[in-house]
Amino acid sequence: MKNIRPKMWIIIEREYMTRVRKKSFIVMTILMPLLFIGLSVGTVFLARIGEGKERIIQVIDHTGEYFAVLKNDGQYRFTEDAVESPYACLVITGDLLENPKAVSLLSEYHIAAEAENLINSQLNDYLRNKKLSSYNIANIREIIRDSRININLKGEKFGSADASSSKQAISSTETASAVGMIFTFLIYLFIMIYGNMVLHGVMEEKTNRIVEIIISSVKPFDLMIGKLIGIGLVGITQFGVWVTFVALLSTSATIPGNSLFPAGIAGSLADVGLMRLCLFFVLFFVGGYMIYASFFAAIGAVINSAEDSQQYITPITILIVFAFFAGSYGAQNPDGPFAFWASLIPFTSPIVMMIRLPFGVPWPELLLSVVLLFATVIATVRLAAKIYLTGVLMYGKKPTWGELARWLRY
Amino acid sequence: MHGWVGAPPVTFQNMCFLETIDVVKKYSGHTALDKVSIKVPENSVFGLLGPNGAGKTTLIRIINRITAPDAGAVLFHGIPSQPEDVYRIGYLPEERGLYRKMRAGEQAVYLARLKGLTAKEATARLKELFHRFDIIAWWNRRLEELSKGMQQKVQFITAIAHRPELLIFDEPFSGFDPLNAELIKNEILRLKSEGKTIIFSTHNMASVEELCDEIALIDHAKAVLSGGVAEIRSRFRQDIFRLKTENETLVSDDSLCKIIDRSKYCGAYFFRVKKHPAINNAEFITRIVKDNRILTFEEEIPSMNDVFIQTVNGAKDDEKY
Repeated sequence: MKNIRPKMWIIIEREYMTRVRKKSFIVMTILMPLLFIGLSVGTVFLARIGEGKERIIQVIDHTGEYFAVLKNDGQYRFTEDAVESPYACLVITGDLLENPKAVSLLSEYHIAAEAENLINSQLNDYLRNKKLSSYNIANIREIIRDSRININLKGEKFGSADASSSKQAISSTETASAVGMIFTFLIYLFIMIYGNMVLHGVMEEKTNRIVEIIISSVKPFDLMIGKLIGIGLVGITQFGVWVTFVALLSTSATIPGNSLFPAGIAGSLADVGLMRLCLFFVLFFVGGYMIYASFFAAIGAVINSAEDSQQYITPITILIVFAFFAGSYGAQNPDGPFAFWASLIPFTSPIVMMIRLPFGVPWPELLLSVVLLFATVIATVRLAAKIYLTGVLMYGKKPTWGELARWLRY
Repeated sequence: MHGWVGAPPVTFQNMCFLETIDVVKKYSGHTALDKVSIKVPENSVFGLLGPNGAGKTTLIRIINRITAPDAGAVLFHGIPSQPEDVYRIGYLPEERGLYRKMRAGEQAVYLARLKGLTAKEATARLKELFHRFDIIAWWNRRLEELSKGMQQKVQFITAIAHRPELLIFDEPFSGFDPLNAELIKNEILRLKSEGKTIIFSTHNMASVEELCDEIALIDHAKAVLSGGVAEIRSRFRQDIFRLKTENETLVSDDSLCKIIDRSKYCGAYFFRVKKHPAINNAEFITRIVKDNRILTFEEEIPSMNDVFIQTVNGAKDDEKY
């Protein structure tokens, strides 16, 4: 037996090296972060397009009182003159203090919310002041300004604060859910991409018939596991490269003049516990990937051509996509019962846990989830190995579900 | 897992390299092998013959430990096959295939390492073999860039690189042009001269006569015929003789032989006759020579092709009635 285990390392080495050296891998690994940055910058840029163009709002003011109140801002200009084609028409038919509904904004277009807000706030301010003046109380504005007490609510997490350190870990809800969503999406993407890589790797070996030569020297189980581990390591490598990339960028953010990463973001990323999150990402990726990739390996062994694959892949894909949506839904209420259960069930937990982690998950829950996940990994790998063993040498017709069930009992 | 049940048989001190004893393999719905026993002598070329789907590949896979038999045993030198035995076997499957995107040399090294060589050993040996097969220039090329013949050479090389004692070639000549087929044939003979044992399955009966010492014919999951090639061919003799005479007529009668065919060529007359089964060869010669001027006299030994067709068709006829 002593000669057998090292064979798995040879297989892992090949699976890993051939993929990591591929041009497409290198390009993807370098390009993805750039693409990501490009997309976020691009979105901001796109949102600003059109802001430069001035929009004219024609005011028809029957009272003659309000036009003077309306101030132009950079984008909207108010005018009483007749205009050829105004963006919108503001019609004021009566005293707004007596009848607040005597104003309407008409347009051929869908009116931008900011235009409405602009008009609303200006008219409201004016009307409030007018009303206050009508009470004839001296210094009323000062009194009101005095009585205005601002409560600034900030979410703080119990237990996350280290009592001995004066700097409390503040988990800003927005940063937490943004980071959570990024990681949820990333783990979903990784499981899909690398799961499919396993599917194609197994299918290639089978349709190539090289599998027959390989399993005349290695146990099919070792070949399957070697492939799963090799490809999984490729995924971890890619993630590692990206994390290093982000880490370098965010440390360089402390250097003045770096505009890409404002220091504030780097700070709140540290609050969320980015490194801890990355470690859990790898842990849950390994678990989730092993479960889904072993399904994919079994499917690759069963089918004879890519055309056959759909029937078997669809249920698996639905499961992963469901997990992704469970994660997105969980972002609304990361401590709610849905997110709780979905982060324990092994088929969804790797993805859903990513959204919960930035908010902090109690250790016992985390531990339970990891244990359940890896117990399921062992079970699915075993089942997949059985199907793989029989399927990989079977050519001709694709097996029915009944036959697959029989293979499991061998 | 499917080890030998009960005591292994006492094998007499023959030179049997490999033996299968009553190997049975059933797939859902059909029996692929039904108590197949073959004996492959050491340092010989053993032909595994049979029509398509007879069970040859299944037997080869069982010998290779790719699949396990449902019953029966595979013995190497009389000892039940062990997992480590796979390193003693070199295998060229019928359905060829390698990683298309991987470089030829790298790929060969990978497969040799899986057969137990270190990377260094494998590289040295394979470079030598690539030289001998005249494909060293393609060492760093992706497999898909190679012609089909060259791919086959790479595959053949990977089967022999770890210098196994037993080589199993499933249809080794398919896909090779006559030139390369000759190369492979010479390689097989060279391997034999080095003391290796070779099992090869083929449909090319001419190559069986040329290369094989012994054969086994598998038909409908059973080993229906086995033994030495010369012995089997003479076992299938039909008592047909070819005679070359000076005279236009052959003086004989039906109690001696029946004339099947006659022809004239370059002033000589040729007869194919079927000897009466009751008469032995010596008596037949004396009687035929007494009455005729015989120039040559030759018994027609059936080719392996005839043996194959007769055996397989005979089984079909048996099935019908």
